[in-house]
Amino acid sequence: MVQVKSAKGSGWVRMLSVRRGEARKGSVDAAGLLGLASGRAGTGHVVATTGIRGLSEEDLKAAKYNGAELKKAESFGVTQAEARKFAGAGKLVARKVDYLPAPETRGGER
Amino acid sequence: MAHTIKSALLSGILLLCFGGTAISADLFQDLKKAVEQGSQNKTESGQPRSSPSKGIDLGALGSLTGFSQEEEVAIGRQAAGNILGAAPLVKDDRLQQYVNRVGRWIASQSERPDLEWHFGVIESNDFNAFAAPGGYVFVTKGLYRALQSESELAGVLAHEIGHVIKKHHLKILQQTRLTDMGGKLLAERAGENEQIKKLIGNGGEIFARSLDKKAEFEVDRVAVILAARAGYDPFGLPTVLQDLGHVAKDDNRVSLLFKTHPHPDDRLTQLGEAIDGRLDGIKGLTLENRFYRMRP
Repeated sequence: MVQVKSAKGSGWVRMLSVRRGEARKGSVDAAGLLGLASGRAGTGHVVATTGIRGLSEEDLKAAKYNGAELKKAESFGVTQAEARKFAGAGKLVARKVDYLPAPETRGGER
Repeated sequence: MAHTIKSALLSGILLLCFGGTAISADLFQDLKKAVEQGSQNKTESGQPRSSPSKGIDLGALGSLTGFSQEEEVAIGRQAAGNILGAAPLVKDDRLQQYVNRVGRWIASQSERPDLEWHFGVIESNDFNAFAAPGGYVFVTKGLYRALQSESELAGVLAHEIGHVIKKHHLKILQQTRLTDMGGKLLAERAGENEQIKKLIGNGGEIFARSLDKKAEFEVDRVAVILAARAGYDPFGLPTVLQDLGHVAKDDNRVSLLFKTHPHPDDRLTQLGEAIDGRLDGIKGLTLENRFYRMRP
């Protein structure tokens, strides 16, 4: 994504839009979500559809606390040191960047 | 995916918003009494707060949240346990480990690097993401599947992290509940805390509440910067938002997201005005190749 400007204003343009756009449609819509929604996954075989569900407001309100699942979720937590090692493996380098000011104020938040 | 989703996350997020419906009339009476008594206690802001038996001090309302970090985490655990009751974790340990590494690295660039952050992908085909106080962040499977790079995931997680560091949900909770439940919001590492349960209500309704639009725009701005600080291409979130903007409004997968958040197009407009060329010189990594692809 890049932000572009013209006499008429500014907007967003996806870089390499054609290539990426096609990749997305193929990998997500067709093979992924649509496949699941139809009860078929990839090979055309009918698969279990129990995983096909949304998360509606009603679902959330009716939810019952699941302590076991919470503990499981917490078990996947990593330390800052582990995260730093992971970042290094991907050649991610931390840098200082100031927060953006709100458009109205331009005064900075930080 | 464009059309799919992406972003949702972003927003979706959110948080928990501790809904007002869960508070009882009795509780409000207790609060009112506590206010009248002018009790005192120690709060995060350093202002005095009442002892457990004396109620609350409302002096901190309107400024900081009035919750200690311990209380915040306890509230977040309850909220996280509730949403996991509605949508459990996707059974893919490598996926869960991956999002925790990405998320913790981004959170490390924020003002709250020392929180015990937890991230997870949950079983839902919706396009959404959620954040709970104390550092609990969840992305739906539907949204995750729509992502194409680690930088896009970073953008989504960073938006949620923004809600946590800005304490948006706690501020709403403070405004709507006006209480510390008699000072008993103490963290309990195991099991539910009845007082907290009473505070945020049963279930995950807090996740279905909307935040102020300004709060969403604010954390969008925070997200692109946290991603940039972490070394990522800062435009992961805008990319996701653009894709979400292509999802039909009547698509059930975005119904909750669109109900609780400004439309992605409006968010992009706001974000574009805020960026206004400020990130022109900031490049970053997208890491498409390292992005963990979920099993079919």
